[in-house]
Amino acid sequence: MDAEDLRKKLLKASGGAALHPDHLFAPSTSSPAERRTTFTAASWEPYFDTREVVEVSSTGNRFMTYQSRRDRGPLFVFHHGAGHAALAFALVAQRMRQKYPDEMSFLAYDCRGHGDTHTDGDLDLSLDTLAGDFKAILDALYPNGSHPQVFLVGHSMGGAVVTQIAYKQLVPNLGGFVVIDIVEGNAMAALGKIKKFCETRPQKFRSVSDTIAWFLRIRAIVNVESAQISVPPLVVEESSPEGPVYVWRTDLGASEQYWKDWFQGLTDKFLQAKGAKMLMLAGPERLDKPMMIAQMQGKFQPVMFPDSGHAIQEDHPDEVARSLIEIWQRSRPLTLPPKLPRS
Amino acid sequence: MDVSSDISTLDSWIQHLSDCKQLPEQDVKKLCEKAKEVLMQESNVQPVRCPVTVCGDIHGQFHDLVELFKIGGNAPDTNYLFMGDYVDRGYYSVETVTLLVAMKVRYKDRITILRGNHESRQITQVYGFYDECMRKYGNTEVWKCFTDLFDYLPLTALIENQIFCLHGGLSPSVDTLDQIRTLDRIQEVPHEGPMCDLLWSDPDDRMGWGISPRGAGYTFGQDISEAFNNTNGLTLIARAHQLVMEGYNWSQDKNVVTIFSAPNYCYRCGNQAAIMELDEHMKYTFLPFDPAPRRGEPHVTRRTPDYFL
Repeated sequence: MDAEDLRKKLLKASGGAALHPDHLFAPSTSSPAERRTTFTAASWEPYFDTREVVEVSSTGNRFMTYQSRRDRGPLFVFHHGAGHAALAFALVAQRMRQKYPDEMSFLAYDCRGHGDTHTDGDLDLSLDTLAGDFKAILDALYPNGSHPQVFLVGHSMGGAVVTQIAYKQLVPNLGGFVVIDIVEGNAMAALGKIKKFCETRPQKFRSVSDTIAWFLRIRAIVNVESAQISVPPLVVEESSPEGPVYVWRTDLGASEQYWKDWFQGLTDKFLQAKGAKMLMLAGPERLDKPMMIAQMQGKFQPVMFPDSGHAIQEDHPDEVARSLIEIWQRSRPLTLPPKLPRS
Repeated sequence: MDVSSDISTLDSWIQHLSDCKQLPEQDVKKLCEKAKEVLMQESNVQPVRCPVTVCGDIHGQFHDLVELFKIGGNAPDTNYLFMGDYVDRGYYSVETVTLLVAMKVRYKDRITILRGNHESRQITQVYGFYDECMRKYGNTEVWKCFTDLFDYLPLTALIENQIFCLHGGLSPSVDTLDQIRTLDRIQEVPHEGPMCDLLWSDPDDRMGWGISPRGAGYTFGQDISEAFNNTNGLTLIARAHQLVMEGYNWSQDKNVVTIFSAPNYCYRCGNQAAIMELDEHMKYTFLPFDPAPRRGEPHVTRRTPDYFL
């Protein structure tokens, strides 16, 4: 589905309301079946061990983090995309923790301008700022470079951030990095459509349940379990004459000045960065020319989810968890398999 | 069916396929049954005589395969050895693989077709062949027929006991050709192990064995290919699997050559293709070629996602 289809869908689903400036509410329901469905905001607790604010002392910036921390094994750090938040990775982190309860650490955080994080410059979403925030959080949690081997996982804009971190070698002990559903060629080509999407999505919801329903209705997220945990931090309550309403935490339109910064040069940086690299895509047709050449030369590990929407980690948490475990397993020192018997 | 009617049926199928027309489902089933009988007789290290022309990845680029036959000569006047990856990515995987299999059955001593990593149930469900079969036949039968047949394709070939040909590369589990001969190949390509390695590995500038960035197989250095060629009395490893911009590429002090035969791969990569002609004295010549002129092919339509931020 491209932005145009999406717009039509939105228009249809809302009876035109989403596009009409006088009526910015998303409709509560679009069909009798959905009318009966209410969605409940889910707790983070089954997914991580702790939820805590990490304050960066030099700046006073306060980042909301979700962690499951162990004394041994690698640390997986998850960076969400623009307009999303840390809990977009809740299911993946939980699935991985189930498989390796004692030997993997997980860290997801709301990045600047998102979720429950509050900084001195919430609108500065430049790549270097976001990469610097990651480094500041890592240093705060693991002083003096005491962190274990790190694997970075980034979705969409977050994919550009983790690529930047890997490319600039900001982590001394980086085992590998994983980019989810972002490729420079396609992203640059779609900038106009993204703008339209930001302009036409509803501005207010009557409830958190309505917000979750909207994400599910436009199929931005398909997995209900994930939507109920990942969507609530994306809106904030505001009072209005009609009672409380829910508006976007993040003004996506205001981030437009950074869109090119995120995506331009992404392919070169991805290919030049050191360490194991994995690219998860919602279908192989999303590769642009240089990435396709690189794939056909065996430069990175592609993992395809042809039936997925953009939020692959939310819709396919088990498969994504499996692939992330694999990139860690393959990063360990090579032990050669046994030789076949010689007759 | 007697032998002569068999041949005329095959000839009519080949004629039909040469116009880039798919066979009816029932004929595909018959063809795959015959092909299974032929391939079952072949070795994991299938012996091949020279002269022969060695080809790399095709990936459903049917019109470029026709171009390849123009450059290399028609079968059976020219003998061919294809090193796998007939399907996926291009728009005509069905016609391409049907034609190559029909040619194999018709000229079984003159055409050799090896297995590539894309000749697999799992990979074809992601990279296009499955969808194309559904689109062109309306059901999964033809896909099932071909992917069942792929299990029978030989893994490697050996030209005049000198040139070892395979899709990917070497395996740390394997030192000798005899070890490959003992593999039970009639199965889906496994995720690891020697059969997987032969279809997935790549040569590399670093010495020794390495972890493959692809997530399957290994990388192997010049020391490995030299030792393998030495141990087995070989002069060269010819393989495909990697796109090389000139269509062929020598590596590892001429112990390894990569051949890639899909020009402008996936209609966007801008690479040349090549085939390697070996004459009756085992003298080699590389024949590069460009994409065939496009005749009314569907446009590359890329689904752009809803939004990505």
